[in-house]
Amino acid sequence: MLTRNLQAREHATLQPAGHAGGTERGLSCLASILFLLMAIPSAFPATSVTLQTKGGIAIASVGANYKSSFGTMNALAIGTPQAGVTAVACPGTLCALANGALYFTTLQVTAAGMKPADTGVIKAYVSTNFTGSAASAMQIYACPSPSACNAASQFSILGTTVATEASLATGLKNPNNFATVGLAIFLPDNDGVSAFTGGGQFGIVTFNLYLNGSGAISASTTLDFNNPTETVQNAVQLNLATAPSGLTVTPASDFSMNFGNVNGLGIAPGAGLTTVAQAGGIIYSTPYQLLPVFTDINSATSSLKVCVSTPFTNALILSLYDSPSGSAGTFNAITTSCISPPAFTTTATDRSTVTRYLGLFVANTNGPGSFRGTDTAWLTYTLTVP
Amino acid sequence: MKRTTLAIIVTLLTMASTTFAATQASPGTSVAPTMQISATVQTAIRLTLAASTGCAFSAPTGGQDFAMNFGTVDALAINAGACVGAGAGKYAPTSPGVSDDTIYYSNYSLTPEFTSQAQANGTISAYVSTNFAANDSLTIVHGGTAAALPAQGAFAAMGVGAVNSTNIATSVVSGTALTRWIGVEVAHTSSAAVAGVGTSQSATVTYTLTVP
Repeated sequence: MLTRNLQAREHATLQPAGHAGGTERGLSCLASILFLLMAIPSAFPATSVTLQTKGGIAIASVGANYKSSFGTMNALAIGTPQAGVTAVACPGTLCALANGALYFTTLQVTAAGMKPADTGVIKAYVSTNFTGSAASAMQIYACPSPSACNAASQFSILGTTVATEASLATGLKNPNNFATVGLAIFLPDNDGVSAFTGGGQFGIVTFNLYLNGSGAISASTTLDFNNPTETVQNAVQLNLATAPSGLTVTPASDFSMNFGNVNGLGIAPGAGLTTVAQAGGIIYSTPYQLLPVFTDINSATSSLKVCVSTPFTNALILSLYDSPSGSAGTFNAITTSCISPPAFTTTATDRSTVTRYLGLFVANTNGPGSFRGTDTAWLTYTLTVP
Repeated sequence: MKRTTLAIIVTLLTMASTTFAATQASPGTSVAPTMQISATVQTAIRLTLAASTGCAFSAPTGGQDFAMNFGTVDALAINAGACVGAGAGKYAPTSPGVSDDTIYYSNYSLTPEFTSQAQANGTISAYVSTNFAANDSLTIVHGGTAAALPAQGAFAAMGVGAVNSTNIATSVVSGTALTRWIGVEVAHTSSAAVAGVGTSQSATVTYTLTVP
């Protein structure tokens, strides 16, 4: 178009130059030089935004755009994420966000083709958001340079319009025309009607380059998370923990609890223990906590069961009881059949602590059937989300 | 080609169903963590004294575990004493002020409890660990191993000091309460040397439950 215009302008001035003599001829020559300058290829190529792998997910180019993937994820950050991706559970010591998981990675953005005097800024926004259940929709976060982008706290949610895009790299100037930035996907923890699982999730982030403080986009590229598409899986987790004023629950293979020294008379119970009368001996009782966590499952409630998977060797002396309150008369022997143990609750909700009381019955047996010494049993807890 | 396709499917299924620690799983709707429960069983033993149908127990004032107060007594059995229950009473002297003494007595209960002992039976003995200051006038007496009220003559002085322990019960079993008798014998002696008259006197009896 520019060429066509200049040619037309040149044609329009030829005739006056023929009539006017030297001055007009000079103008004609200048126009010709401008025409040549515009017509020949520039010494500076057109600006562009390029992306490349930088300590994170693999990024592939597709023409002038790019594609990648965070792979398979779940809202509890369970398991090993895809190579180049770090997953942290939220909220937690590593993440202050609401219930869910943040999967994050790093990449390099480059403002290519800038002239020596140019200063570039690269901004980004979510041009195509993930789909799925509205409440469960994944959200894309970004981390600007020069942050290390190795902690959840460095990431902020990206806008979904060009008007709300965020600056990821500023002050780009040759030869330092590149920066390492971060992208993340936050997967909210939802159950019930807002649960969502499955593949086919894709989102697109558009990166725009702005030069020299101008509001005009100088160049753009996109990163499409479709290689392959993101997959959301459901997840479950059951943790046991120490209750206030209860015996310590140690998180080791998977959990352990040591009642310490006990006797059939309930004399001098240890810290965190109380004694409850029981025919034939005594029950040492302690409260403890169960924390069921589940995500992207259609049910909003779960059941909790417990069974004695490995009884005490001296099962006539030591046995395990369960109680909802710890009060006398509320303790029931925990079944030693783990095929189909009864549920002690069917209404446990996500991330809602359930307090139970575990009772250790010690028989007051004397004589040949008596036992003195250390013994061990195993309980198996089952969290099921229907 | 078919075999290759099958191999790929198996691999994908394996990856998709990967489970992690037993506390969590993804994908999945159920998880079954375990908890190890440990305990060390120790032997234990306990002896509890309690009032029976006789003298009531009162709160001990000198660091003892139990207390029984016979109240005001005398060698002629004139005072009723403080123990008025059916299981308490007094034996008056047959020749007041001449030959024998007065005994104020009461029953009481002993409950031995022991657990995780190699033996199923134990013994109970007792001795006067701290005697009356006026022990010329007052003596702790016991009814031996009898559960029923002993005759006056069956009450005997309890040994003073651990080496003189008195047998209270043998072959006791855990959890079975026993009834025994204890009393205060008031001497009939009268002289200027008699001490403690008119003042409250106390003694301490130590009971020992032993399961061999």
